[in-house]
Amino acid sequence: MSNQTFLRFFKRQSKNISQFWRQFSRNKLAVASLILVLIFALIAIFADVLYSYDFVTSNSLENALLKPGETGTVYFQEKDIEHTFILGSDNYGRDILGRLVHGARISMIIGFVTVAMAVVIGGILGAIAGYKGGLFDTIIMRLTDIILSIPTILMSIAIVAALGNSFFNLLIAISTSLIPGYIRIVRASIISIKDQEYVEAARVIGAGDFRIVLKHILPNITSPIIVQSTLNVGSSILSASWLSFLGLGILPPKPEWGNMLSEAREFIQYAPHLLFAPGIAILLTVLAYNIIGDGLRDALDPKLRR
Amino acid sequence: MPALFIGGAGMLSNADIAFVPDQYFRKGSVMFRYIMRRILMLIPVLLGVTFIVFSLMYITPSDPAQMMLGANASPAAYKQMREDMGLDAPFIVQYGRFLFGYKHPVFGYKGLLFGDLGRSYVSNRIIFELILSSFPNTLILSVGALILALLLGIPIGIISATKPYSVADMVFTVFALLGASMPVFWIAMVLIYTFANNLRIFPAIANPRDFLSLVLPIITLSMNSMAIIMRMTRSSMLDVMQQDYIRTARVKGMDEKTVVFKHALRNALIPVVTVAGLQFGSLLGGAVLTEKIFSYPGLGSIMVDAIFQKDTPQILGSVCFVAITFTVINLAVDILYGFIDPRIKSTFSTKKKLVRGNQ
Amino acid sequence: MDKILEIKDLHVHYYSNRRTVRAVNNLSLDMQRGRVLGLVGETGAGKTTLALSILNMISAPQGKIISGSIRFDNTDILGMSNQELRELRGKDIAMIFQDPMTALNPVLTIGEQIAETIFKHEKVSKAEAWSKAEEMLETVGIPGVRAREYPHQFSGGMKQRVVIALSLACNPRLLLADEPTTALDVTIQAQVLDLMRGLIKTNNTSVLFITHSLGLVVENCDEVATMYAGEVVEYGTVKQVFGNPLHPYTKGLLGSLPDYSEGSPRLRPIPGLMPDPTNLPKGCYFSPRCPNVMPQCHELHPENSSIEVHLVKCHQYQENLHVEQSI
Ligand SMILES: Nc1ncnc2c1ncn2[C@@H]1O[C@H](COP(=O)(O)OP(=O)(O)O)[C@@H](O)[C@H]1O
Ligand SMILES: [Mg+2]
Repeated sequence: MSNQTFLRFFKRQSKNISQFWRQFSRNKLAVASLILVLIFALIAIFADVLYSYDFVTSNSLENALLKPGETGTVYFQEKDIEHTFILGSDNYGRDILGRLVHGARISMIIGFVTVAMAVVIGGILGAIAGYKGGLFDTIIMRLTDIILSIPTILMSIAIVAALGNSFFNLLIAISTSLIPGYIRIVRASIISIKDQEYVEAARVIGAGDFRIVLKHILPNITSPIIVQSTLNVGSSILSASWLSFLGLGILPPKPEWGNMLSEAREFIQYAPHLLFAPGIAILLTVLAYNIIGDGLRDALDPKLRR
Repeated sequence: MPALFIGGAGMLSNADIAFVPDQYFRKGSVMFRYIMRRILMLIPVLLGVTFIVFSLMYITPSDPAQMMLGANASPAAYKQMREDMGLDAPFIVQYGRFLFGYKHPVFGYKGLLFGDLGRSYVSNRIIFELILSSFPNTLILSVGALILALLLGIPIGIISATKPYSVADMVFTVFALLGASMPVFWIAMVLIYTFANNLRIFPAIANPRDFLSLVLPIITLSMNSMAIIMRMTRSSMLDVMQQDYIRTARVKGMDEKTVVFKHALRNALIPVVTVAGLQFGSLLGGAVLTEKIFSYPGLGSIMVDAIFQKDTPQILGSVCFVAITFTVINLAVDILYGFIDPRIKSTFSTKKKLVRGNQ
Repeated sequence: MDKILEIKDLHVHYYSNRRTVRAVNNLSLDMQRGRVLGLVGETGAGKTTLALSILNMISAPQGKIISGSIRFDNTDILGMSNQELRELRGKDIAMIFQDPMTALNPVLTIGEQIAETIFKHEKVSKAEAWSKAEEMLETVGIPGVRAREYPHQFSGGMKQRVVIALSLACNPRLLLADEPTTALDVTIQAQVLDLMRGLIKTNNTSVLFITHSLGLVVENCDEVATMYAGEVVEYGTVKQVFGNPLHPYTKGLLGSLPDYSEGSPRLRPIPGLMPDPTNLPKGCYFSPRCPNVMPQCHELHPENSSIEVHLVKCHQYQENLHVEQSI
């Protein structure tokens, strides 16, 4: 039975999708951003094909601080290779473009995993809080108030400091500050809908909670969650970069945009390319997600639709 | 506000003078009760904040007793030290002490509620003294950044809204998008590279007593907020300009300046105030990064240093202090909001009137 | 008779989503001084657009007055500078909008909203403007001390009184009342109308009274114009139009009313819809719905035919006229 409900749900969604795309594609900036994000995603997926991970993480001090376009001889895997540093090299003689490419992979993983964690946890907590109400609801809502009353940056710093410096802890730290947003969206939507007559009616007919959620509640929360998640992928990447910048996230020699900037700090005078390449990578990524998020909001919000 | 027509003040008749104070007194007293209620509601949230921060620090893998004694202490001395520092007590007891104080000749303190957490194990300085002496510096940066963000964000937002989709609006929109997407630390580095290293106009290291050195950190910190305030002003202004009462003002023959600044702006600013308040909180957070980059002696620098030195009580004190400040500011904004928007202000007085009516 | 307003061949277009909405089409209309002209028509007929055009308030980018002339007391409104227009608006011509709930600025006291108009248009001090504002409030039945209150502290009917006080504060010569009572309860409607009638009479104000309600036209107006798809299809005295409606549309409106003098029944729908203003039919705009439609109605747009001062835009009467002329 629920299989059928699923099918119907997706059939209805697919009809909406073509309508949505017509709306979204009017926003040229958003389409351009989407293309940019897809290119970054391809780069992230094929990072290993473009540059070997070992190559971009091993030092080659004789090639330190090369300018963009310069070539040098790198001793790598027991032989000398003639290599062109397209975006120059850093203070350890590592290829900047190669590190950017692998940094794109790390940033993308962080962005998607933190948001996915927040959506699942926030969604479940919000759904239970909204559906059951009562004490559980009160506790959850107080907790979100509390989390929201600690500035995001501080919260993340405190969590990483408490749990210790690791990739997984970084994910937790970033995700925690995103969760309240999803709790609120899902809870508000469920509360606004659960007492409406058609849901009552569905319950009287004997539809199970799962089916009710799927049929009536899911369609109502997908739009705001899609918009929120898109914007949050951008902000997560930003958070990860400054946690790494502070030395609390991904640490060198792993390539991450934030720690690349952190390492660049002392050398910007001699090698400004160290400053611009990772900074522009972060900027473009976050900007693209912000623009797509806004575009999605406009395309999905029926109030704005003409 | 410059272009306001002052309909009140100078033209109170005698009857009005008798009328006004009474009314305001009534409003004031209800306002007061509302504020008290909000403050009471704040207490559980603040307790929750301290509890979460305390719990996080409790599970931190650091050992203050070890830190005090150094690596070669005997197990007996180590055990004694843990006892003296109160680290052998159960979690909840330690949390209680953190709030209400801990009696001990060396390691005792009066507790968070009394603004005393004793001395740092690492720097041996009094924790709250350090917080209170560095907080004003952080405040200088945050307030400076907020003022800059408002001074530029609101006028630019208005210009954008009065000529939507014009070239100027497009430029500002791009600027706002960039401002909202740029990492704070990168802005700082670019500014330092340009203005400190190359042009040598401003120093790269900031301190609160040198105004010139504050310019770069304040610009850095205000960038994100400026972008947000600009966009908020624009959309709020566009929304207000569509309202019927703006058409009414035009139909009355009001000039465009009066329409924009008196009739539209006041309404448009109401949501901007809320956003500005929220921004102030995130500016306090953003100051952590900015201070670190400009080696500025603020609470943010102290916090980051404390984290790297595993100086748990200093982290606890600082994070709780900022969280409490943040929460209190948000409450203040909420209350301010009530004063700006007459519709909210009078919900208090009508409640009061209803109560009177029932008596 | 003395004309206060002469509108000739007015065309007004709006631009939305790259489409042109032809809101007012080749409209001509005169108003006599000191009289109340009722303007009736379905929603979307262009009544509000016409009123805003009289104040030259249609502005780019949403819309534009394409052509035509509007003369108010023999001065051309469409040729006025912005400065002259600001002096005209609120002083010589005032307007009341449909929805009093949204017409007043929520963050300014009502006293201030009235006083600023008086201060703008009359040579008075701010204090005098304020006391005149309080006086105006008293005349519409609101205690002067309430001038210091904000719009949300008043009920809908009270707000519309405030709007009336506001619009009449500078003794305008012409008042454009755009469905001033549509948003109000029936009982309050009557009070507000009584009030307006009294004030208009004492000041000898000319009024363009836009309404949905034929009953209100009979009670309040001297002349009446029926508007359809952006043009006036019939114009005459209330007696002429209601006693002997000529245009099939007016007939339809009246025919659907059992007794229009009792109460204030709303316009009954006539079968069919008004044409899409972005895509008007070639001939008479009413032809797709007209019960008496003739072949030429689909081809040719009708001109005005007049029988004394009773004007009608319909091929039926053009024929008659031709017949009369040929005799
Ligand atoms: N700002 C606007 N932009 C685009 N179309 C408009 C605008 N205002 C009114 N219209 C259109 O112009 C036509 C006439 O509207 P209006 O003058 O408000 O009619 P009425 O007042 O008789 O109901 C309608 O089709 C309406 O949709
Ligand atoms: Mg209208």
